[in-house]
Amino acid sequence: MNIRMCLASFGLAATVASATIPAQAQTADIDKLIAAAKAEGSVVAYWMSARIANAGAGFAAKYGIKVLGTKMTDAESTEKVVREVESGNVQVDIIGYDDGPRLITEMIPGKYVENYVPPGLKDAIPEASRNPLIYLWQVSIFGYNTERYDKCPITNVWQLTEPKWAGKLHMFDPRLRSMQIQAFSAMEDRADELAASYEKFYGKPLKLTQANAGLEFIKRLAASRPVLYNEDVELAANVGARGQSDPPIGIYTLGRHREIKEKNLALGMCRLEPFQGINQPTYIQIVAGAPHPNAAKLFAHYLLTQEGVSPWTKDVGAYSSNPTLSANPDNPYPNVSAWGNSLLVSDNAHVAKRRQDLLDLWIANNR
Amino acid sequence: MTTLVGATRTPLRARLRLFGSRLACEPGHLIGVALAIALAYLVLAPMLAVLGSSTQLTRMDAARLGGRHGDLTLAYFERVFTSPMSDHIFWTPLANTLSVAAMATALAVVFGVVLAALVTSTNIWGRKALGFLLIIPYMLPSQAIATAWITVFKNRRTAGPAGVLEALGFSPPDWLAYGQFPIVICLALSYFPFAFLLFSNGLNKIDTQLEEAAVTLGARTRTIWVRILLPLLIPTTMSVLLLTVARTLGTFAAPYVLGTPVGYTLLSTSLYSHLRSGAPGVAAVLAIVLAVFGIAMLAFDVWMVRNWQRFVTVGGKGDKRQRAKLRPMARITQTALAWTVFLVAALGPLLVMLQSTLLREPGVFRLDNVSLAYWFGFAGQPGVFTSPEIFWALFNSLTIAGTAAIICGVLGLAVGYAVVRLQGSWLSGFLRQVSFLPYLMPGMAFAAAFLTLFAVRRGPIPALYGSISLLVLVMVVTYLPYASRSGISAMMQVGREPEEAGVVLGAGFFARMLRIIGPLQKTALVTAIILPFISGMKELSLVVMLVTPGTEMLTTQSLRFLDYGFTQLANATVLIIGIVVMLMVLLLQRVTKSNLAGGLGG
Repeated sequence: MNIRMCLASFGLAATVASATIPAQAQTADIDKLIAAAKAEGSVVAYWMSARIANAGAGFAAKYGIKVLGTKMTDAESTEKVVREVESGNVQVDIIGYDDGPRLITEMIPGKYVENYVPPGLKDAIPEASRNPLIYLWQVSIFGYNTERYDKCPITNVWQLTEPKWAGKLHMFDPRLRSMQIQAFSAMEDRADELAASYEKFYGKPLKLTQANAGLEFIKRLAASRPVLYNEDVELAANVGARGQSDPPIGIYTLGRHREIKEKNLALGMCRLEPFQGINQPTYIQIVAGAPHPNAAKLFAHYLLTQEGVSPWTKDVGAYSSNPTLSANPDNPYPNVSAWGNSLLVSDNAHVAKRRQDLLDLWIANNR
Repeated sequence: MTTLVGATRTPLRARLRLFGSRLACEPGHLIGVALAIALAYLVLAPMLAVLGSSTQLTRMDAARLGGRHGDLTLAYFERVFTSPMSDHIFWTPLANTLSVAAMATALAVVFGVVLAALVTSTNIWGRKALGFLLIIPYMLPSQAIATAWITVFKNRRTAGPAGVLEALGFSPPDWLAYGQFPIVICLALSYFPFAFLLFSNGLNKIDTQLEEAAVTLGARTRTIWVRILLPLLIPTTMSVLLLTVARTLGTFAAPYVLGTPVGYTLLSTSLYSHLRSGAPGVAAVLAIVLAVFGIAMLAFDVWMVRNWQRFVTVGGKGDKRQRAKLRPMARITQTALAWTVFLVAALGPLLVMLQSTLLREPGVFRLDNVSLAYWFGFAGQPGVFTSPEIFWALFNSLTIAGTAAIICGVLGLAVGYAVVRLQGSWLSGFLRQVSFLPYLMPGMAFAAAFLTLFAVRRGPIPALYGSISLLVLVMVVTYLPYASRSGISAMMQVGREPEEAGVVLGAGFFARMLRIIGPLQKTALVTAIILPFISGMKELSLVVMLVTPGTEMLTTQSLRFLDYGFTQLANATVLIIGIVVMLMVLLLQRVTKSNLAGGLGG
């Protein structure tokens, strides 16, 4: 066979493939990726969730590629990734990261990480979730103690700023958790709704001491001295422990409800106006100069499939960004869009601009 | 030109030869220079890095404020000291920190003096055992006592399962449960063992002839203590103050656990929250402030030592002090006092940890709720004895802390040797102070700097990040202060004569070290190994930044368990740390027939 014939037959094969079943080309691509990933043998992941260990075990079982996954806060992984990349001694391949604002102002422009959307799944992921790539939505809710209360003792978020609930809200420490600041920013974005909801509930207009109702809410919330946490395991346990005569209300990830049975907790979800929780995206990024780039890409692909995301979505409170995948049937709503706008979703660019001021407003009033 | 070179060459060569021969007969020079270079790099470079990050714009702030990453800025200093936020970030935490540090240190000193006096100079029951049992609080990770406190004293402010007192029908007020009061008590209980060790040692070293003279002259016991013994302990007190204040300034775990529920912040917790929220510039400024306080204490200590030593004469020739025979009532009450401190500060936290691993459902104090499930595993959950993670973390912890401790011990003695042999030279002063500096830097701020410095190959040092050797190195540098202090104070007591005798008999440098200095310094070496080992086993803030998958230690593993929601396993891991450390210390003391107090130097 001479070269020309070879090229011709290759061309023919390619034409046939692309004309008839494009999926086959994609399968070829993914096969190539799998082969390259297997050659690399392992992948290192810094993750915002401890369940990376389960996802890693599933990946290892499927592809024989070991995942060294460590749970890390965003601040820790930022510090490590930045220093690893700057020194050229990169240990990590892929990160799972909650701090979107930091991603778009610092990590991506600084070329510490690269956005990668698995080509085969491009069409399945909504465009808004592609850059930077979101793989998971985690819902945080207001929860109450179902042993003490038949139904949630409040119906509107403004009630949390009443003296009755002072010191009776348990939430993440905004100084430690970027998620809380992102939620504050979303409140500011929805200031008009907050003002309207106040007026509807109390029958009188809101008196502003801040530029808008969002900031007013944050200020009053801070002044009512909530009890602050670093992690929400204990938070949810303190809200839901049995035998309490005056239990608090908590904001925590809905995923904690998976521990209800095991820990014998009495936890239920509040349905509040004008929002009943926070929808927090988690991003996947490939680290620049990753030592195992193909394994990292394959892992990113895997996390957007049913089996890859199931360590999170098999429990309540988490949804894949790939809407074709299913979530736990016990969720209050079957998918993200069914929650409608009852969850706070922040705009990364707004948060990046406002985070310092929002944090300062919180700190100045939380004493 | 040529004549000039010719003219200078001979004296230079002569000087070199002189220098060479001096080096040969005084190896202290060589050791001193080598150590000085290593320390300058390992200690000063990270400190400069911290200074750098306090004055350079981060990428995120550059994007927000306009400007470029790395631009010089005073924005972080302004934010800390003069901005409208400075009150919350700095001034209030500063006032809190100073009052907490002052009260905790004062309490620790009082505990230390009283207990040391009881154990060394009276006939209370169980003196021998107490000598060891009273240092256990120092072997527990710092959050252990705080967690225990919360478990006992918590009230409805933190909600959740009932605390121990609540279960007994008593509801503690906020001031007792959270904030300043419990922080002071917990820090004092964590750090009084320093004072106890040093004062015991100090009392044992005081020449009893002074007391005998006083007794001959008809002085009462009280007079002897007030007029003779306590004044003689003033230099020891300075050491205690220095060691304790620096620790209380920098500790963050206990203040975080106890302060957060009521919004009580210290500089260390403010530093922590700024690091965590991605504001390393502000965090660096706070670290500098803490370091400045520490360095001021060190300077004061140096000044005091210089001025007090003129009046102090410790002979060490007299007999062991006669132990005061307490009257029966006094004997009973004072024995009870000493044992109460042990029960509260050491046994209490251990028992609280233990009970939490034995209760199937937390806070339900009923017999049918007690089980060993968390130890042996249940329903697919791993237990302490069935979790491979705990085993590996234990292995890593022992390897890392053990290696670091041994290197530390040897280095500490080397620093001691060089400092004492070169006494009077600037090199000696440099080594003495610089080897102590890491003690004064908050570990959290140090860790990030180490990551920057050792992630790359620098000269002969390969890129260490990602390997166990980085953790070892960081621990060696951070705990060198204990070892070098111990080494210096021990070498002070060894004159030149034994070594010179060795030289006369033709012993080489290594033979002298192994045969003469080594055996003389056994106690100091053991101290210089044990203290870094204890600290290394319970270190969290320093290593959490530097562990990579595969190098998890017990402390970081305990954190992972908390992340997974396995509170009981996390507590069990802390318990394991405490028990392993205790056993190792007991073993080392037994084998080497020495005790911790011997070497810290007072």
